[in-house]
Amino acid sequence: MRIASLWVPDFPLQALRRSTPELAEAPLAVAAGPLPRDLIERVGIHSPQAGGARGVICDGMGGGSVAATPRDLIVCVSAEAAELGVRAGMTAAQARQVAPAALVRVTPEAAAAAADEALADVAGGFSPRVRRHALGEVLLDVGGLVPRFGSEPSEREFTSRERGGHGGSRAPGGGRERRGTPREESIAHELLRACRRVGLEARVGIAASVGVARAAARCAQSSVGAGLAPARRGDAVVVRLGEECTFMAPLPLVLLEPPPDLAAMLARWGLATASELARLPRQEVALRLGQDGVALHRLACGEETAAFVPDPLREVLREGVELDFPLGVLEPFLFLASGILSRLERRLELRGEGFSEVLLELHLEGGGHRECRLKLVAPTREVPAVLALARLQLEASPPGAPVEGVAALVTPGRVRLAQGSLFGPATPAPGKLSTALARLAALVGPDRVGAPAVPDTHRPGAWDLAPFAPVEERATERQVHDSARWVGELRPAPCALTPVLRAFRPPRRVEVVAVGGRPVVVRKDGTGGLVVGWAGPYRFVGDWWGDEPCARQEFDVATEDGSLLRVYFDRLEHRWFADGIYD
Amino acid sequence: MTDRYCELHAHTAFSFLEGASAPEDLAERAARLGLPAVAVADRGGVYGIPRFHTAAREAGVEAIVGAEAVLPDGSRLPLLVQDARGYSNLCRMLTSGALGRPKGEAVVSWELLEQHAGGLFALTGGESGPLVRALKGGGEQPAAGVLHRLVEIFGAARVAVEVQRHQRRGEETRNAALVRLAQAVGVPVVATQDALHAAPADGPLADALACIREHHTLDTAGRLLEPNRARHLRSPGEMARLFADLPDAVAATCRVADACPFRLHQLPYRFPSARLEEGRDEAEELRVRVEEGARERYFTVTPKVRLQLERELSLIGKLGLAGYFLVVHDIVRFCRARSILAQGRGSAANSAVCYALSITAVDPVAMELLFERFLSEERGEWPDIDIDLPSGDLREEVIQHVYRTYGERGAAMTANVITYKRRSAIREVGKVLGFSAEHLDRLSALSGSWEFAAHVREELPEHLRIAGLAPEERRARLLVELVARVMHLPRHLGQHSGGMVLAAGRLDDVVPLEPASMPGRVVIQWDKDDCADLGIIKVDLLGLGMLQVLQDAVPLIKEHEGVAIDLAHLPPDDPGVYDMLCRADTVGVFQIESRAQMATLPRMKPQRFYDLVVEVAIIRPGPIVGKMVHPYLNRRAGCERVIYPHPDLEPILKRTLGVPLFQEQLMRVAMVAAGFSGGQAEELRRAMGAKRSVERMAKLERQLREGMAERGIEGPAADGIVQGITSFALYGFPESHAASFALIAYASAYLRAHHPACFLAALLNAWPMGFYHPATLVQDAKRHGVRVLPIDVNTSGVACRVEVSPAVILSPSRGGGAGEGSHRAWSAPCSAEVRWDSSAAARPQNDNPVPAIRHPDRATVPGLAVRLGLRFVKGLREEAAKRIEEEAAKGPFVSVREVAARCSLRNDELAALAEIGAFASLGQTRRSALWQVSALDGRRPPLAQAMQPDPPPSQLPEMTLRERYVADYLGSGVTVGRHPLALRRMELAGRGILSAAQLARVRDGQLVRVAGVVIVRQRPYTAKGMCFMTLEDETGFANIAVMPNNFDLQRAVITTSALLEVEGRAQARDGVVTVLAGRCRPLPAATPASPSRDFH
Repeated sequence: MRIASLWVPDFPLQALRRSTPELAEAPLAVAAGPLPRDLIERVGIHSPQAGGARGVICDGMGGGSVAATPRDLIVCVSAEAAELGVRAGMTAAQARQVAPAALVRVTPEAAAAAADEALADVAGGFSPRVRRHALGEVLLDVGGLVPRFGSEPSEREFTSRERGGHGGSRAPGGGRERRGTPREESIAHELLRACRRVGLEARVGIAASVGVARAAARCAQSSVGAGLAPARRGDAVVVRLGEECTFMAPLPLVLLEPPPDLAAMLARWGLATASELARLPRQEVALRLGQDGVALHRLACGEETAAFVPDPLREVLREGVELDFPLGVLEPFLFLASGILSRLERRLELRGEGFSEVLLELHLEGGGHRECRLKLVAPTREVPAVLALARLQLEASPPGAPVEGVAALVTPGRVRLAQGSLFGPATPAPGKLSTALARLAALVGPDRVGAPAVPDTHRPGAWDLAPFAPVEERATERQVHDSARWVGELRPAPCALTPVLRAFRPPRRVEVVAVGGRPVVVRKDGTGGLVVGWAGPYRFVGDWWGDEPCARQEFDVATEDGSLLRVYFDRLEHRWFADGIYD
Repeated sequence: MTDRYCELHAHTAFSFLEGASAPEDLAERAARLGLPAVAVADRGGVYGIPRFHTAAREAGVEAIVGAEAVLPDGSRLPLLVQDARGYSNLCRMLTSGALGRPKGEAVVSWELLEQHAGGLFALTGGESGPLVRALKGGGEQPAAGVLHRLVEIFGAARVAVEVQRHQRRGEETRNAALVRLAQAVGVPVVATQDALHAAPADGPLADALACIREHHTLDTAGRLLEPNRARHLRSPGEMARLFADLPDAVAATCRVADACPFRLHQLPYRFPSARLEEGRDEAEELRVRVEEGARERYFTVTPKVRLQLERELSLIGKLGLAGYFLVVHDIVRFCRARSILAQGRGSAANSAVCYALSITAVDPVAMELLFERFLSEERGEWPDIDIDLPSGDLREEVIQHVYRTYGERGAAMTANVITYKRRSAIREVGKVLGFSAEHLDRLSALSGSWEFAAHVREELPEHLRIAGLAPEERRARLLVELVARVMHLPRHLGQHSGGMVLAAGRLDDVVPLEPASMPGRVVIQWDKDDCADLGIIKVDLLGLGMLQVLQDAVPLIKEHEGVAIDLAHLPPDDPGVYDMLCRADTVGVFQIESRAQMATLPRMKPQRFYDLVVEVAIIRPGPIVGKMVHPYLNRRAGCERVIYPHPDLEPILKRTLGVPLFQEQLMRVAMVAAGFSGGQAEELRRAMGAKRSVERMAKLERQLREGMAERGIEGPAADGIVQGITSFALYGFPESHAASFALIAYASAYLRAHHPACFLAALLNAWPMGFYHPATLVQDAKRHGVRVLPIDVNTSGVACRVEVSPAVILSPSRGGGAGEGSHRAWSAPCSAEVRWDSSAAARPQNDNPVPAIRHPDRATVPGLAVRLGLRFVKGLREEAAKRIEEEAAKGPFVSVREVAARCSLRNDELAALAEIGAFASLGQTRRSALWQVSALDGRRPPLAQAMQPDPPPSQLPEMTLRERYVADYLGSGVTVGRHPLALRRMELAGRGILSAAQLARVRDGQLVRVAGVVIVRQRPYTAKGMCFMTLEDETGFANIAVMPNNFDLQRAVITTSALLEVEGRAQARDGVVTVLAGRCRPLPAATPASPSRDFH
């Protein structure tokens, strides 16, 4: 087996720049934020704050990058920031003090995840046997790929090429390092090219075992690796079978990425290279360092330490068809799609799952491409519901050209077994609900569909829109009580009749004659008149810090014609409005 | 009829993070609105009452005393004080609710209310009161139950139901219910505002404070904010209109106010009595003690001394302060009995009585100090005596003694009100407004620490611009405004570093007590200024690291050198000491070890004690800003003629060569040159005091100039005087205080000069203190011939020890001092100026007095070495270190495994010891010890560990010299080996880099290159952006100055490099060489260096 390690150095920095291209030339320092602890440890920074929660959204640097808090530790810096004196291991506050011009950011989780996905896609494009080893590193089995890049040269062929001056470089130990087969080098360079296409500068190491391959990938960048291979960016190191021990011997132990406590112990022991560790008796190492130590010792000797176990195949189902002639009309297309979806539905049924998300890839006439993503509120196997969603999306946003081919990629999801409540209101079937919401969104726009919600503000008339979801259970008496207390109003006596305000939206202008700030005459659309009774004023001053401050003075007025109105004087606009009428 | 209304429920900013107005603003607004009386009821205490009381008296408003008691359900019951008994009850109730509970979580139970209801008037509160809560929670029936309970506790005549109109919907239903309840129970209804701030304009600040309190931003706070700005003080007319339907509710407020006539000046405070001999009163007792003390101090009491003592005793008796002096004397006597060094500082050193009582150590008669600076009849305030004690356990011992003496509730620490400073204001308000942490960091970094609210509105917009924000943007403008408003408002209560108040009887009759964060401490709700305003006497028991050093060094010297040091009778003008000071060889010397002091000493060339007094006082922001330093030094060096601004000022300024340096001098100058009265001079002194105010100083400047003009002092002379005086608004020293400090400085210098090994051991044991890291102290001591031995498990204690170095055991000089005359005979010529009491400072170790020996010209006792203590081993627990010391005392360790077994050490602790070479006496190298440690199984019991077979020999490489340095610095912060730069001297010399010793010999203007470990970086605000550094190498120190523009260009290198190479031009003046830095480069090194002390 031949394992390739595809590793992205300074992954947090690369991920951030990939998601925020305007930071490409900026003096940038990336602080530990929501990135996983293992990544922070791998780059050699150990801190109790590492991996802490983020708090503050940054100013308009774009890309959703997040500003670091002062105590966050810097984990990697760009060359520009390094020139200004910023170093990994500083706190964000120290970095800002040293270089006020440097930008200290935290890589958003989404950016890191996207970059990692992209790396996995690259690996998946080469081999079906892929393991996402850690954030910013994937391992893939390249043993069977040689035929794709040409046949394996014979030993004689390789040797003659070597004699001819190709494909080798001086090993650190002084011997001639034969860097694997030229075919494997080709694979490595293809991998690097593919990484560049997705915006990542990676390193590749290929060897017979996971540990050696990973060390080789890191070696490609390090100064030690410079002795093995040209130290240009994106380079690769291939370790030939049987030469693992020789290869590993001069490597600094830090490249073997021992766990932090083990690394500290080895440093205390004064061991710097793999060969120094390898020289110690394994039994003594086991006594002192336990299983981790033994594993590291084996790795230092170039031995296999862990089996390569690929990740399970990616959980996306795919069906598609290429057409003999392009389709320009929706109905035939939906008929075609119906067939594809039905096939997928049967596959899903076998797995006990349903459509959770469907991606329709449309290949358009003239080489165009269009994607249509259908998200379902709940997983379902109702093909008509999915088709209805597709119809709505395509009607709202036609592809713009006839379709020559279509593929459906399905993300499966466990179908919910909905049990209706005996006492609660009847709820629609998930599929129908999803269809109905999609239909509404297509009609009025996605940001105008949902359930009304009361926001936490004193601002009169404020409301919010929350995603609609079926009520699963009735609110308990306790919740109602808490809600009333939260609102801060007295609960009305059980039998009291409270007037109901019918609110005008938007509030209506009214003519008011006021004396001493109190309305004495109110007229609205020919109704109203002399104020015969009033309550108030009720004042509200809020949102004074924002772009829409509000200051109003409300009255409830009874007019001579029997109307009971809520009116207010807007103190910013200096106008009177009717907010509603009491029924 | 004129409307009458008294506000019965108002908060100041001492309802922390809730009230938005300072007490003074509330009083001023109340007066402007025509409110005859205002009751302040802050949450859980009377924190703001003293300030409100003072301000209200000035404004003509009656200040009713009150507080909100926090009940078990979280509701808050406002209580107003009717009489002295009620005040005591309130204080006791709040104290009982607070003590025994975590800080800030005081709760007053209903039982406590019942026990302490006498003399208190209860209101029912607003939204947060128990009545409204019951009404909202269950309706009128449970609410009636609450009201009945209050009436049962306080009586119907002392309960009133509050109704409030904050112009919100829903409150009328509530008010109607409250009125019905009041009528049903038969108690009056009063209209109140539950005011959170003085004026409507303070509303935004109240919102911001609510956000800070609740950890929200304004955007997310929602209903935590007030819906409007109605919770402010209103005029009687406005309240009458607002409660037109309830006129009795408005009128009743005045009846309640009339029922609460207690005011804070009626405080039932008495200072505790001292223990008196039978038949004597306090004045007589004081006189007797002073007589005894004077004889001991002066030997012969001269007429001048007698006159001064009589004058002081007469004034003390007249002011009734004898008891105070006796109580302080009792504390000092306790210290002496326990051999604890204690010395008064500050203005108390101006008093001969304090000197006679051994409270202070400086003879004010000999030094002609101004007694009026300490105490005067016209001032009408209590004197302030601050006592320095050794920092650490001994100080705590004294504090606990005071607690024991005056009872748990008879003594407490004063509070320290933590107020918003510019940086904290920017951070917290900015966060509330939603500014990013990054921007706030930048703004905070741009803000200096010397600030005034008025300047914020001018400077902050510029800082916003520099930080990349638009100052005209709405939120930026709000930030400026809110920061300016919030500055100097209280944020929370802390504990004063050493101020204790004492009371006869119970202190919690006078002020509520609270638990401090520190175990065993109790703190009152007022700060020292409040106490001073209310006539509550405070004694400051302050911790001083150098006293700890002296305390420890004296017995060490006696034990190891056979010399009994009496700090009270040190040789006054020891040439060895002054030679050392003139060389600026003062690392570790109290007060004069800083970079700036060391740069001044060679110019000052101190030759006598008074020079040291000047040296201590001159390197202060006051004299520096006042441009007094150079004129004084030039005149002293004879480079400048001594002139006086006016002939009349010569007697005052003669000792300081015509340059005013001390507060006392400036007071006298103002009196003589400008005709200030004693009262005006007093006002001037206060303006120069702890709460320095630029505004007050500006007002006084005008008066000063007018006075001087009348006496013909104008032009540059007047300017010089004014500049000297106004600069003290920033920072100035009283002469007496400088003298007290100079005394400690002299003592520390003496010990350093003559007993460097013991002094170093004590200095290291008292660390952290002073200016330098232990690594620097050790290297400096080594340069002075002190041998420093590494940490070793068999010989090191927890603390550093002095031991006889094997190499010099055979030296004949050892022990030669016995019998060289008595201590008294030697100290007889001691200057009258310099006497330290604490006769027991030399803490006798046995009953046989050790006669003093004299070796004034010997730098050190040969053969003594300092063994570093286990306290410096990083990662070693204190109890583990103690176990090692105890076990080693029983018998030496022979193997690493034995250390582990006998001391129950963790593996990481053993590894830490191995790495710094602490097993050397066991024949183990660092790595071989580490190899053994790593094979030990820490989970096994000690016996099993001891029975483990011997591990095979180590196969690890031995540490190189450089690795050993690294291990020393990382493992203990200090190395006893050669200085890291000594290893590279050849290489550095090859590159033309001078050592610090060579630098001292260069000529002015010469281009030089130096390198060293950066041990100090400083950017004092007085230096206008210049940066000063000290580099250390194996030969000494190099002073570096970096111009502001150069600093900005090389900021990263300068602030981050542990080792630095500097190229620049030497400035050699008066024996002081400073390199004006040009290019700075980091000096690559694998060796870590000790961390620098940075002040930028």
